[in-house]
Amino acid sequence: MSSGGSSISGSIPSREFMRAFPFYFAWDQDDCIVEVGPSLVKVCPLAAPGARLQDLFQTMRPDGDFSDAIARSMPDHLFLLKSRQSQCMLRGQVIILSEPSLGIMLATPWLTDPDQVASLGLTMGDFAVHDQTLDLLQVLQVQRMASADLLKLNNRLRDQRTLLREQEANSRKLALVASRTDNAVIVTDAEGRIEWANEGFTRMTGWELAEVTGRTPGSFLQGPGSDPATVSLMSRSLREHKSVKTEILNYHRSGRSYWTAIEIQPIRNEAGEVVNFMALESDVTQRKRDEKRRKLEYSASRILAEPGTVRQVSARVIQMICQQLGWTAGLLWMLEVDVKALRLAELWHDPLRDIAPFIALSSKLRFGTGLHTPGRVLETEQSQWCGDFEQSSDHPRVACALSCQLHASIAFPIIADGEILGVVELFASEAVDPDEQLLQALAGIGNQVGQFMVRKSSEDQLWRSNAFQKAVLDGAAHIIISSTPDGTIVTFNHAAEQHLGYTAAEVIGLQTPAPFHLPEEIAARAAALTIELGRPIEVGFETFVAKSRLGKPDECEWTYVRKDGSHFPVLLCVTTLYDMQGNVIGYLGIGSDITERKRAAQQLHKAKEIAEAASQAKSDFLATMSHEIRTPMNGIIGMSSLLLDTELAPKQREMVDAVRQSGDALMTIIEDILDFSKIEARKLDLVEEAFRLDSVIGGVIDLLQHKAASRHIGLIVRIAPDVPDSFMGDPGRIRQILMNLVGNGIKFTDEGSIRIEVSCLTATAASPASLEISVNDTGIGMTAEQQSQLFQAFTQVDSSSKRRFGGTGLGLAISRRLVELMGGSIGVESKRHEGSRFWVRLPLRVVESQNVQIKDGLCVPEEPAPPSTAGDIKPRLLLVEDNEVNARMAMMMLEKNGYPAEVARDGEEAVERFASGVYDGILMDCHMPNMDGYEATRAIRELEASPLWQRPRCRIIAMTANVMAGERERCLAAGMDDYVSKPLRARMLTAALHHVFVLPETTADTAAHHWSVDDASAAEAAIRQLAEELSAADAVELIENWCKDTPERILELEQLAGTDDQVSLRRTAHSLKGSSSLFGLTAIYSLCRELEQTAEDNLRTSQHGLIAQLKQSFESVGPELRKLMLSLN
Amino acid sequence: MYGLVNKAIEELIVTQFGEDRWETIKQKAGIDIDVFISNEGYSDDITYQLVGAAAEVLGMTARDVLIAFGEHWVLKTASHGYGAMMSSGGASLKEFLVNLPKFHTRVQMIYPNLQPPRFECHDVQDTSMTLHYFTHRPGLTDFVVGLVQGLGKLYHTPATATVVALKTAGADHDIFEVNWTPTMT
Repeated sequence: MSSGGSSISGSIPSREFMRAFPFYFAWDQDDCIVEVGPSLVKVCPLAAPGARLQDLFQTMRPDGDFSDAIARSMPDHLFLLKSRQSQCMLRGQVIILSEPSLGIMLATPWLTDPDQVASLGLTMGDFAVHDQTLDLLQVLQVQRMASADLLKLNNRLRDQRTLLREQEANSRKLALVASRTDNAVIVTDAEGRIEWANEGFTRMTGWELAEVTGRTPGSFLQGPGSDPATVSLMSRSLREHKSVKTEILNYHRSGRSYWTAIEIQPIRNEAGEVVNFMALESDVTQRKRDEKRRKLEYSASRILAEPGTVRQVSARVIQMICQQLGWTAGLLWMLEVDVKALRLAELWHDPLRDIAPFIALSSKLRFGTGLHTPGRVLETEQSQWCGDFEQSSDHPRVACALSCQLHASIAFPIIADGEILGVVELFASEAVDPDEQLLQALAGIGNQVGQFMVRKSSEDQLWRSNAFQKAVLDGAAHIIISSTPDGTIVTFNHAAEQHLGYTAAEVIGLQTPAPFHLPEEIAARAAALTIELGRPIEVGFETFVAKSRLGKPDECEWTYVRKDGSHFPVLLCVTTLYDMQGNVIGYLGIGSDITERKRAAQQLHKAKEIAEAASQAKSDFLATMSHEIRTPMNGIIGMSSLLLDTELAPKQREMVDAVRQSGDALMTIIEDILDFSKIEARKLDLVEEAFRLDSVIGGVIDLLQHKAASRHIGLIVRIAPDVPDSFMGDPGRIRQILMNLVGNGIKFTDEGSIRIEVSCLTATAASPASLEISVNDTGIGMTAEQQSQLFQAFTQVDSSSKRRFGGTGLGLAISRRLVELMGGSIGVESKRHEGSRFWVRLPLRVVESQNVQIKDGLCVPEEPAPPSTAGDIKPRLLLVEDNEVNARMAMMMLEKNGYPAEVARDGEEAVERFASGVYDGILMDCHMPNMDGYEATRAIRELEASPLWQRPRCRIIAMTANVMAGERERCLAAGMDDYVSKPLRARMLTAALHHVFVLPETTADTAAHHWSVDDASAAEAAIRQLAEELSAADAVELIENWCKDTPERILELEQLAGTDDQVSLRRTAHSLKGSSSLFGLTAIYSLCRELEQTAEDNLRTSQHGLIAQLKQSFESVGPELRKLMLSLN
Repeated sequence: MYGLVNKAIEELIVTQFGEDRWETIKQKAGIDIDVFISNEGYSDDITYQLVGAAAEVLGMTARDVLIAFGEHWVLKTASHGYGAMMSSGGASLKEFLVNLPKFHTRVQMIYPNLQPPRFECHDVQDTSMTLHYFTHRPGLTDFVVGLVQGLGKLYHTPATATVVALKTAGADHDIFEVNWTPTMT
């Protein structure tokens, strides 16, 4: 239908039809569209004339394709088509026209969702006015909104129902809690009258709900102990509808009081009006008790920290306990340790109560262990509770207590370190049930008081100690300064102030003592300590304390600088202070002003120098005197000896012999005195060499056994097994001491034996051995008085002994001096007629070597061998002597022995004569005018050293009366070979001359072993010493025995050399070494030592050679020894 | 008044001021209704009380509340609740306003028991017209102002409604001079 044309029916104008059916479409019999409504293209854009129905629409209802045929077959039917293009549904009715044959679909869009309107681009104008589609959509939309609202309402109702159920459940739980809780829960009305209470309320108060409903809680729970202020507070809060929280003492239905914590809250309705009160109550009785106990303990601690005496503070503690507990009286009983009883020391009582009779009684009483309550506490060390005196014993004290209205008591011990110091006894004016917790609290307080008493006692002691210390510090004349470990000065005493000029206030707090010191001294001391301690010592405070920190006080001299700059010397002793754990807590320096001491020391030094000069003068005088005495004695002895060789009448010979013997005796005395004076003048030097102790002792035995045997006295040696073999020391001087002791023993023993015992007190390689050698005799013994004089010079046991035994009395004095020089000690234990025990203790360093023992045993004396004679080849001699008499006497001696000799009167002449003459030996006096002996010797040695000198070296023997130390060395240094002392003795002279041989005309080396000058002088010195120590006869006897034994020993060595028995070889060599050392036979000694060493090292190949040399040496020594023996005789 | 109106007030308050304020306002208005059902009729008093309480609780004038309510009605409630109808109302502010009488006529047809207002458009120009507002309900004049402003926002065409005659001042009905600024679209 065209918009301007005729309508389909012909009666309805086309425009109106389209307004009524804007979505209509018409088709022909070929299913082709012929007309469409104006709005149809919005939902079916392809719908235009000519389009086929099947291409445009699909039939939804009824099923199948839409076609003209179907439309005609189903008149009056409702069709639902779907646009194939937009998927929009169209619903409507079909009208079939016969002429022209057309089908018309009166359709309108079928919309189920309002959104489709917009998506299809439809507006209200697209629809016919009568079309309900949009209205229905609107209704649908509103309906949907209503559904959503209902759903929301439903959800809200459901949520509210859930909430309600939860609230109901919670309410049920709360109700259950309220009914079951131990706390009391009370609900009252707005006026405070009980409406409801839980079971906890009944349990707490003893009241049932039915009994109290309608009553106010305060009317039956509060009582006389309830605090009125608290009650008033609660009432006011309730009136003002405020919540309240407090604690109050309530009463159980039974009358028992209890403490309750109460919290009351008003309950309001929706209008905010108070309709109920809810009270929640809990029983806090136990907590209150704990608080009370803690308060007691705290108060006690506080009081115990306050100042006061033990009694005062204890009394205050008792008062506090009584007042806090509401008790009437408290007594302090202190233990009197000596009688083990308790006595009243302090008391407190409520001033409003009169308990005077009870106090009077108590102060008279004393309680021993177990007696009444205090005594039982003393016995059991446990607190005691007497809850009601009415039930108690009928002790008079109890009766008295009751009369004073005291009805109960509690007593607890005061204990410190497990010891009871006292007992506290408290009294109440009414019966009181035992409270275990209170007992425990009081026991705790008892311990606190005990510890307080102990602490107080310690404090008192400390105070006294401090007072003492302060007095010492203040009163000390010494400077006392102490510091902390970092050097901060904390003490500076009065003397320090006086000496140094600083006040303590100026100095305390300084971190260094440097102001009192010279910096250069500190630096020097630091340097010295660095070397001494082997680590760098810082210059500063460290310098003062480094050494004291090693554990011992460090004493050192310093120069102190006063505040005014002046100096004074001080001896400062620094000590490190330690605490009980050994930590350094500070340093203490004590300084003494040594100005006076220094002055005294200087004076002393001067005095010493004067004394030493005097002593030197004395020694020099002795030396001079000995020389001066020897020179005339030389004449007396020499001339009397020569006189004895001439023809004399028997009477004359007897007199000359007496002169000669007196001379000899006088010389012995002089030599003893010289020896002693050498020691006194400290001119005697000890040697330090390794030696075997057994050989020293063996040597002494060897020397003295003959003499002992001649008196039928046995010599026994016992050396303890632990005594080391070898030591470092001076064997010659040890032998001298032993010779003296053993010689004395033999001298003063008529029968029995002499026992030499050696033991060792300590002996290691590191420390010196303390060696004890004792000589025990069975002689006449001594009184204590005699013993006390024994080691003094020039004394003898008594005059009769002196007569009987002779001697200078210097032997023991010399021994004592020698032992002391060695750092040892000497002593004697003796009883009259019971013998004596002399002992020597020596600190000797041990030399590690194999131990060779001298076995204990009796040494049997042997017959001496006959002396051998000397040779008779006489060399030509030059005698150099300025003294006329001496020269004459010496010449006479030489002539007598057949020595051709010439005399030179001084050194010059001697050199001249030597240069021009032919001499085989020279006897050289040392002290001469013009040129002395030393110079002359040097001149002669220079001559000999000349290449033109054809003769061999000439032997020069010194002659000197100067026997002081160093003389021999001086002679040897000058080039002399031997040494004889004046006065000349024929024996000594000839002995010395034995070493002088007729010299060949030209110098020639010889391989033969010569008896050297050194050999001779060593041997002579040793033998002479022996003779001095023993006697000449004894020395001769010893030498003879040695000469006899030695060939056998050498033979033994020859047999052992190179064999496996090196032990025996060593022992034999060792033995021979020891005996040869006795006589100063250095060559033999050295060979034996070497041999001994080869045995030790098992070097057997060299042994035969050494023994051959030994044999040769012995052969050359034999004649010389014999000469020496002759010289002794 | 249908619940939809009260619900729109609720939505406005809750989204802008929170649930608590809404509860307070309800309490203040003495309204004990949890959920308003959109298609349920409620007493007009409820709406008036809600508006009054809202002004009091929020510290605003009733006029401001009604203008805000009008804007909200167009932008939120009507767009959602009358989706198809609104969108079928027109493609521009002018078209919508011209259709407005038709729209309300239509609404009257849908809800025979409803007493919706009636609008008439006169002197329709390119940027103005005179809007005649007929209602038996008093006090909703400012609501109409809000509606016009809301429509301006909806069509991105800022619009104002100025009262030129008031029923309360003796006129037959309220008349508004509506002006809008044409947009490029």
